Amino acid sequence: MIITLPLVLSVITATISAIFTGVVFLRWLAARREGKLRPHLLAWSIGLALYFLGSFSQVILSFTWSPLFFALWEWAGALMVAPWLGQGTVYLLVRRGSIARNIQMALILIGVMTLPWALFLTPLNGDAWRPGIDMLSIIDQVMQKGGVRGFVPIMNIWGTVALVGGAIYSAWLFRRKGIMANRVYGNWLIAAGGLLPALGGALIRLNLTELKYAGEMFGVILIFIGFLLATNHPEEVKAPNKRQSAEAVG
Amino acid sequence: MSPDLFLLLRESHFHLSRAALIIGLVGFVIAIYIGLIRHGDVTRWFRRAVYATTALMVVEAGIGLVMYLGVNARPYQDVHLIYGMGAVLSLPFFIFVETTAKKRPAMGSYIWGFALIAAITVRSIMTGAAG
Repeated sequence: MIITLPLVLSVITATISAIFTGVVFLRWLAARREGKLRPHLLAWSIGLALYFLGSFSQVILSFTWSPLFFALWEWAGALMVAPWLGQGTVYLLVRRGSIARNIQMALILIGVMTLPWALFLTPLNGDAWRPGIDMLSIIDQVMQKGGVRGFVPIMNIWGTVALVGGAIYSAWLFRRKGIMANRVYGNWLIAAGGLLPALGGALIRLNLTELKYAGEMFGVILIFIGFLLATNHPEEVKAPNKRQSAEAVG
Repeated sequence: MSPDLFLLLRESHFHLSRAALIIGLVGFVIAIYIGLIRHGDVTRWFRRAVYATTALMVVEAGIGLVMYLGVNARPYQDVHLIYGMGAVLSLPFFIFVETTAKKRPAMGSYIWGFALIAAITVRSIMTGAAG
């Protein structure tokens, strides 16, 4: 068994994303039991479950060649994580009409179409695989460009813009209103965490693939801390603004 | 399967795909007109047309499936099957959103639905022609 840096980083990423998925999903369940609709929590828990699936597939592929896990790694990790995490933010910020639900349906449709495409209709060449090999370094030899891979840039740009842009907008909004400092800092951390895996994608093109794994790990850690920071205070508790404070004193 | 029946199925599959593309584009334009220009909601006739289009897509996919399984006919690229499935599923997904929407008007769902049907049908046609 070869222990490599990408393997260690992938194990940590898979563990943290599994815990994070559980935390978010339990919150969604608890809200549902109280009769509250929290679709953003469900979308995030789906995105985090896919984060886990992608990093778990990476761990499996460090030990053995598996077309199933390679297809899942590509589908979950490269294609679906970013738009599902972004979808949670879309649910929070886009309240007009059924826009968020329509985007979710488009996302489900693309997911339903690309999963069997990746699993059954994409030829995979496992000859380049060796135990412990960095999967990103052999992706072009294993999987042809085009096909399912053609969706990757579109989905990632969309997801990253929604997640990172939404978090930056929320942080700016709370900062401008001068309320809930925890949400300001939490959203900054979510934005930074969302950017790290996306930057990792750019680093692959510069042949710095090890940083991609580090980006995934620190990305999920920052999003987790940001999420806990932004949501662990009740919404009703608002810090008084300056005028209210002055009136109270007067 | 008799050669005549196969030819009939093949021709029907061909012409229905073109009809689906035209209906997708026309539906998209009408949905934009009602939803974005007139700010109106989904009318009874529009919803009937949506259901009829969904039925057409099911028939189209059914014919393709009969040819695939019945006479071992194969599309130009295997991914045609995925696009076919996408074309069948796209409208029902948005019918669900529209019929369960709490906020009205909800014509936006069909703007999405018909845009996706048209786009997916184009890709279906490009991957389905048998050379």
